[in-house]
Amino acid sequence: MHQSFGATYGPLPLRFAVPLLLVGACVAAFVVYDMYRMAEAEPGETDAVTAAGNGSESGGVAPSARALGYLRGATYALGTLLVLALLTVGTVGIIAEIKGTWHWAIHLESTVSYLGVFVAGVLALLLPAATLLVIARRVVDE
Amino acid sequence: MSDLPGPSRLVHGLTLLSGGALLLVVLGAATVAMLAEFAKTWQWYFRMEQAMELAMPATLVLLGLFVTGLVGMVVLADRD
Repeated sequence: MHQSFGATYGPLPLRFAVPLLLVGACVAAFVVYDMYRMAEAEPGETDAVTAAGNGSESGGVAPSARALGYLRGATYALGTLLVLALLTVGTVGIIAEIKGTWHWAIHLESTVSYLGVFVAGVLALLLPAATLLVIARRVVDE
Repeated sequence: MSDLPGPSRLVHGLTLLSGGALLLVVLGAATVAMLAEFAKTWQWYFRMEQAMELAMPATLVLLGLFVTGLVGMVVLADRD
């Protein structure tokens, strides 16, 4: 038997849930913007990042820059997961509205129920990761 | 990209716009659904219902525009 987030922990109070999701949306937007900016950046600027991503021996790259590269990768991955989960829920919801059948209402219900747990977990990781990334950017000189 | 002729630039822009708007509408509806699942109150499930009711026609129109735009882009594309 699957236990939903609400059944396990009690309902997440709205005064927490609304800001949480709004901040999550802002973080996802920031991640997308950051990806875009990094793609536009000069090749020289991203050298440290690509070297850090290789994981192999890369002389001259500071460990802090490499850690920052990993942190950025993790944040990107989490932001992508959040957006993909939301796209899944939205697509199933729209299809359910178009079809208007019990069958699809139940699809929507189970999708929302499962992905609610998933999104809560992703948000719990994404929010600290993005905060850390913003702070680390100021500390570490790339 | 910048030296595209008039109609093909127009179709290009229309396709990008409708695709972007489609993504935003679906993401918005999903955000309301997630809030409803976090809140677990009938009021929020009702809001989810309303959001889906609003988003559905918009999605259909945008999807139609997007597919038409994609076909238009292919039709108007240069043949090298």
